[in-house]
Parts: sequence; C-alpha cells; structure tokens
Amino acid sequence: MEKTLRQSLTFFATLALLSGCAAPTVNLATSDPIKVDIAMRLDVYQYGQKTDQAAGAAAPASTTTDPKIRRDNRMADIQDFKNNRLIGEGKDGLLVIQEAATEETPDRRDYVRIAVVEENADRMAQMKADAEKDKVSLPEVQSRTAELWRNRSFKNEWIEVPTAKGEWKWIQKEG
Amino acid sequence: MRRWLRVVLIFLGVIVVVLGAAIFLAARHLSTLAEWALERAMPGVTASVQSASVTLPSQLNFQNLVLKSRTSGETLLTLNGGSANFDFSGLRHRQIREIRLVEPVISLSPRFGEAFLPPSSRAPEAPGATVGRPWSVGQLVCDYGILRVLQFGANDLALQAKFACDFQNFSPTGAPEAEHELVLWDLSASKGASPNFLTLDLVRATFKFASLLEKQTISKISLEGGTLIVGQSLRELFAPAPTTSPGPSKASPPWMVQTLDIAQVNVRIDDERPEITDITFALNTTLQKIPLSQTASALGAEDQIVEITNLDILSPHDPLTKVLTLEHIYFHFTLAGIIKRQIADLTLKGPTIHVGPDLFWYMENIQKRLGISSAPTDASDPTGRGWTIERLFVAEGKVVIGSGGRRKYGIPLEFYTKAQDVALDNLAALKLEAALEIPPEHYVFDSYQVEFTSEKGGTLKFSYPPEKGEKNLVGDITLTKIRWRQYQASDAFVSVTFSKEGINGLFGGSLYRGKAGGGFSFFFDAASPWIGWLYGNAIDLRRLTDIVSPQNFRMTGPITFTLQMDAQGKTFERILGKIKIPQPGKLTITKLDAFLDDLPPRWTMLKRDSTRIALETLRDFEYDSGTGNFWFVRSQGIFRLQLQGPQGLRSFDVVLHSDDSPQGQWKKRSANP
Repeated sequence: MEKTLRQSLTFFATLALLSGCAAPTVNLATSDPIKVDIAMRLDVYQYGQKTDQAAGAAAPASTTTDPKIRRDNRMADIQDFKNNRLIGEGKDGLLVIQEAATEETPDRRDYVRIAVVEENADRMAQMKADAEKDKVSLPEVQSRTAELWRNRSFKNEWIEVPTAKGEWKWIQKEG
Repeated sequence: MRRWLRVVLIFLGVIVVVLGAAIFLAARHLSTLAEWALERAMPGVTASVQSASVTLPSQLNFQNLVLKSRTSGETLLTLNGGSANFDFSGLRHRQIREIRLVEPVISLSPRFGEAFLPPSSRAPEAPGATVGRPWSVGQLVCDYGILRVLQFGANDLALQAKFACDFQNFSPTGAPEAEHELVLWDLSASKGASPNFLTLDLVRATFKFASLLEKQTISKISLEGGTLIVGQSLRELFAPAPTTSPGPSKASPPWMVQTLDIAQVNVRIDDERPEITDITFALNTTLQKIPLSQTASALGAEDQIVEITNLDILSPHDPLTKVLTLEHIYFHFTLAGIIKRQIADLTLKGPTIHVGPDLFWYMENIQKRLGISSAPTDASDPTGRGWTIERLFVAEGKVVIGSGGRRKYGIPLEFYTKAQDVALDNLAALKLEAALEIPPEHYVFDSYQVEFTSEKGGTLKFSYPPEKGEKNLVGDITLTKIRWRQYQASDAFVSVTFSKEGINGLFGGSLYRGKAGGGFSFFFDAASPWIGWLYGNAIDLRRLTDIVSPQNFRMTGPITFTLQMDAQGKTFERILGKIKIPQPGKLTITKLDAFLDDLPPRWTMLKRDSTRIALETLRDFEYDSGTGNFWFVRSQGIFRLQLQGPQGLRSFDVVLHSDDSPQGQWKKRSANP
C-alpha cells in the first residue's frame, strides 16, 4: 500500500515538475524545398476537323479501300517510325526498314513491318497510277518519287542517296 | 499625049506594084516593122517581136515582145502579148490611141525607165543610134497581168505580183503631168532563192510619169495587209555595199517614195529563235520621203512607235506553258535601226515571269544557242550581230510561281527596271545586267495569311554565272515588318532563289526581342510540295505565349527553338521541332483559375482544399530551364515539354488526336525522347 502510494507521489511530482518546464520544439521544416515531380498526359481530340483525310479517318487503315485515306491514317505511325530512325526513304520511292528496328521488341518489330508493307503497297499503287496517267515508265515515276521523298525528308531521317560512282548508300539527311 | 498617058499608067502600075509589094513585104515582115517603130518610140531600147499582125482597120497585135537596153544590152521588158489601137492621123503625131495588154506576163528590169528617157537625160548614146521624139499613148490598159522582177541589183532581188492599170494620157514627155495609179496584189519579194521576206495583199502606187523617170520618185505607195519578215534576207538587202571596187559607181540614184502608207502589215522577226520568230506585230504607219536605196541608212530615220499586246513566250517543251507574258510592249525605233537590229526604246509594261522548270529550260535553250552563236564571226557581217536596245524600261512586272502542273501561285511583287544599251540576246537569256527592282510597298498574301511592308524595296536578278554553273533567278527584298498569322517580325529580309529544281528562300528578322530566321524549298511538282525550316533565338516567351494562347497559359523567359516542316501547297503535312528554355522563367496556367473559381460547392472541405492545393501547385511553376520537342502529322501528333525547377519537374505530354480511333501505335507512346 505504502509502496503504491510512493509511486503515485513520484509520478505526480514528476508530472508537476514537467508541467513547469517549456514544451519541446519539433522542427518539421526541411533544408531544401519540397520537390514535387508531376508528369501529366493530355489527350486532345479534335472532332470538329473536317479535312480531306478526316472523312476516312474513322475507318481503320487496313479496312478502307481508298489508298490515300489508308496512307493518311498511317502517317502518324510512319512519322513515329522515322522519328525513331526505324525506317528510311529508299531509292525506289518505297520505305525500307532500318537496322535500328531490330532492337525493338518483337511486337513492335511486327507492327513496323506490317505498316511498312502496307504503306509500300499503297505507294506502289499510287506510282503505277501516276505512270499510267503521265504515260511514263514505272521506274521513272519511282525515281522521281524517291527524289521528292529525299528532298522532303527532315534532318537526320534515313534516306538512300546516289553516290558519285552511281551506287546507292544510306545516310541520315543533313540539315 | 498617049505616050505620056502610057508612061503615067506604067508609072502608076509600078507604084501600085511597088506599094503592093511593099504592103506584101510589110505584111510579111510586120514584126520587123513593129520593132523599128518601137525603137523609134523608145529610143533607148532595141526591140524584138516574135510575131505581129494587123486587125483591120487599126489594131496591131503582137506576141513575145522583148525590149533591151541599147546601152547595156540588159533585158528591160518581155511581154507575152498585147495589142495597140491607132489611127493614122495620130500616128503622124507620134500618138497611139490605146495600148491594151491582155493578160501579159511582164518580166521587168529595173532599168526599164531608160527606154523612155529623152536623149538628153539618158545614158550616152551608142554611135549611130537613131533618136526621135517619144511617142505618147492615150490610154494604157491592163485588166490582169503578172509582173516579175528578177535579179534586181547586186542583191538578186526578185519580185512577183499581179497587177492592173488604166493609165490615161500616158506620155513620158510633152503631155500634161497626170497622176497614174498602178494596182498590184499578191505581191511577194525574195532575195534570190531564199524564202519570201515580204508578201503584200494589196499595193497601190501613185506616180507621175515624169517624176518616175527623171527623179525616180513615186508619189505614194499604199501597202495593205501582208507580212514583212525582218530577217537575214532583209538585212543583207540593206547591208552597206562592199567598197572593194575603186571605180566609179554605177548605182542609180535612190528611188524615193513621197508617202508610204502601211496598214495591217504584220512584221515578223525571223531570228532563228522560235520564241522571237513568234514575235509578230501589225505595222500601221505613214512614212514620208523614204529613200529606197541599197543602204539601210537611206531607209529613213523617222521615228516609229509600235505597240504589241499580250505576247506570250512559250515553253520549248510544252506549248501550253508560258515562260514569259508581255502585256504591253512599246517599240520606239527607226526603220534604219530595225534593219540594223537596233531599237531606240523598248518599254515592257506588265510583264509576267512564269517561274517554273519551263522557264529554266527556256533559259538553257537560249544559253545553248548563244553558245553556238558566240563563235567568232566576221565583224563586218551585220547578220552576225544581236539586237540591241538603247533604252529599256520595265514597269509593273509580276512573278508567277508555277509548279509542275497547271497550278499557279501569283506573288504580289511588282518589279521594274531601267537599263541602257541592252543586248536583246541578253534579254532573251534573262541576263539583264541591271536587276529588276522591287519597289517599296505593303504586300499582302491573303491566302497564306502573310503580309509584309518594305520601305527599302528589293531586287530581282536573273543570275547565270557560267563559272559557277548556276542558272537561277534571285530575289532579295528588305522588309520593315513581316506578319504571318498573328506573329509579327521586324527588320526582316527575304532572299529567294528560283532554279530549275524549285525555289529556295532564306529569311530572317527580329522577333519578340530575339532573332528568328529560316528558309524554304519549293519543289516544282504537280502537288506543289515544299519544305521549310525555322529557328528562333532568345525569343521572349511571354509575348509569344500571349499570342499563342492568351487565355490559357503564360510562360516567361527566353526560348530557343528549331522547327522543320513538310507541306503541300497550303497544307502542312509534317512538323517536327525542338525547343529549349535556357534561362529561368515561370509557367502560369491561367486557365486553371477558372477551375479554381468553379469548384463544386457540394464537395467536402477536405476535397475542395486538396484539389485547390493540387491545382495551384500545377498552375504556378517557376523553372530554371526546360526542354521540349514536338511532331505533328497533319492534325495529330505529340507535344512534349519538360520544365526543371526548384520545386521539381513538370513533364507535359499533349497528344493531339484527329479522331478517337484507337488505331495507331504512336498514340500509346510518349513523345520522342
């Protein structure tokens, strides 16, 4: 009993002693400001666009019958491939898959391959139609189409160019 | 008495016999008599008549008459046939009532006039020549004849025409001076065997016989319709005569025309260059006192002004494609000058240069021909010289850009120039030494939403430096202000080079406290493809974002960017670029203020406050630097921006979709690293 009383007195004496002291300061600030990294993606859909290609844009590239619409629908992917140096413009007016594509995942490689095959098929159909319309040979149309693609390529995109020796080589276009 | 009577009868009988014999002989030798009579009538000639006959009572018919000069023996006139009506009393007075030429074919010598000259004014007579008073003709009629002048003079000039005449009181001398009119049609002139240099539909020559013979002067010549080809033949015809012979000149004094009326005679410049050969204009003019001599200088120095409208010079490869259109051309020249290929003044008003591959093919063709013609030539040969223009003035010139197809893009630039002593060969090769000047003006390209103001103007220059192997047209213009859509630059310049492959341009200027510039290449193709590139350095982002999106966001600090674009006509196919923000600035997404003001009141306090804190964190961000890149294909693509600041990293990917189709792997990917 006495022991219990002594413990209680000690507790209250300690409590009274502590209550007479100032409260301790807890510093929550940091020496550097708080950094918040924010990454956000904003998807903007333009439903009001009524351009030539928009008419067929809703249709999947592979299902529409108009090669021009198919090519329009495919343009962004083709540009994405070019930006990543996966494909280049060849000497015959067709796209050629570049070595960098081998470093992609198998799914991505397949996607690139199919897109290039389909794009080349549509390009070839267009060039045959041009040859028929202009009454010139297909190789001539291919040659001038390739030249136009070379001229229109952006800096660092792959293009196949003629050399002084009459051969062809792949280079990244200079600015 | 009887004896005398018998003598008289015998005498009369003899006379009758003699007369009969004479008449018989005369009838048998009528052509000889005709020759004798003609030689009496025209003392300067010797005549030969193949056959002659008399139709009673007073008509003499003849065939194949030839008159030759008594002095030189030159054939002056050949006549297939004709008739002369006379009466005996008239013959006594050396008068023929009428000469009628029936469908004659006259081969005429230019010395034909000598046949009619009175003794005092013609060449010295041959010894023993018989002379007498010339005959007069009451009427000389020809309803339809053919006139040929062959081997005229040293230049072997040949003329052919059909003619008709009705000369009254046709008398070389003695009779009162009367004006006669000779009508010719279907006239053609050539030099030797060369093609005709002149064809005329109708010619009316009015003359007095005395003036014609004594002064070699024709009162008036009217030319209506036809074609004059100013070319080799004409130049040789009027070239100065060679001075190899020191002897006395036998040249006749120059023939003069008091009045030469020319109406609707098309003049064609035959220059062996198709585009110049095609230059044809109608000549309508009246010239006074024109000497028709062998020298160009004698042609007369009267000023002539000719206007040509809507002249098109066409592509050597495509007759439907124009390379040069000349709306109004004013030539100021003299006949003597034009023969010598000299034009005093040439004013081109409203010319249009159609810039395209055909223009440069045309220039190449010209260049090749000039290369051929630049071989050493005899300086004394005027045919080897090119055309020269003493003073050239070009005003209100336009440039039209043509692609490979039929599509044309007009550039609202006007150019003008003044030049002196320009060789037309150079003009044809578009190699003017003086550049075409672009005047200071405010230009608006509505369809491209571009306008610019030039206070200094510029130049447009065709450049053909053979040492560089370049063939192009260079336009430079200094711009005070330039605006594209809502973006405005100042202190700008544009330099454009037109070549066979396309059009290349460079431009630059001040833009929002920084510098911007770029270039473009326009390729000649049916679809009008072109590429462009643009750079900006230290551009004030605040002013830029206030224009781009004034209600949505604002950034501050300088920005540097590069941008490439690939387009067809007015449609941008592809855009690719990079940006860099090298110095501190602040991003404020002002659009978020509207969200903050409109937070739903039904939300709990905790939700409202946490949303507010999140949006404010997003709205205001101070950065030290930033980078970004973007690419767009037509109306879709990705814009990526990373801002690095004391408060962390802000990474924005804005993906622009043209539709909500899930197709396209690019949509699942972020922007390029």
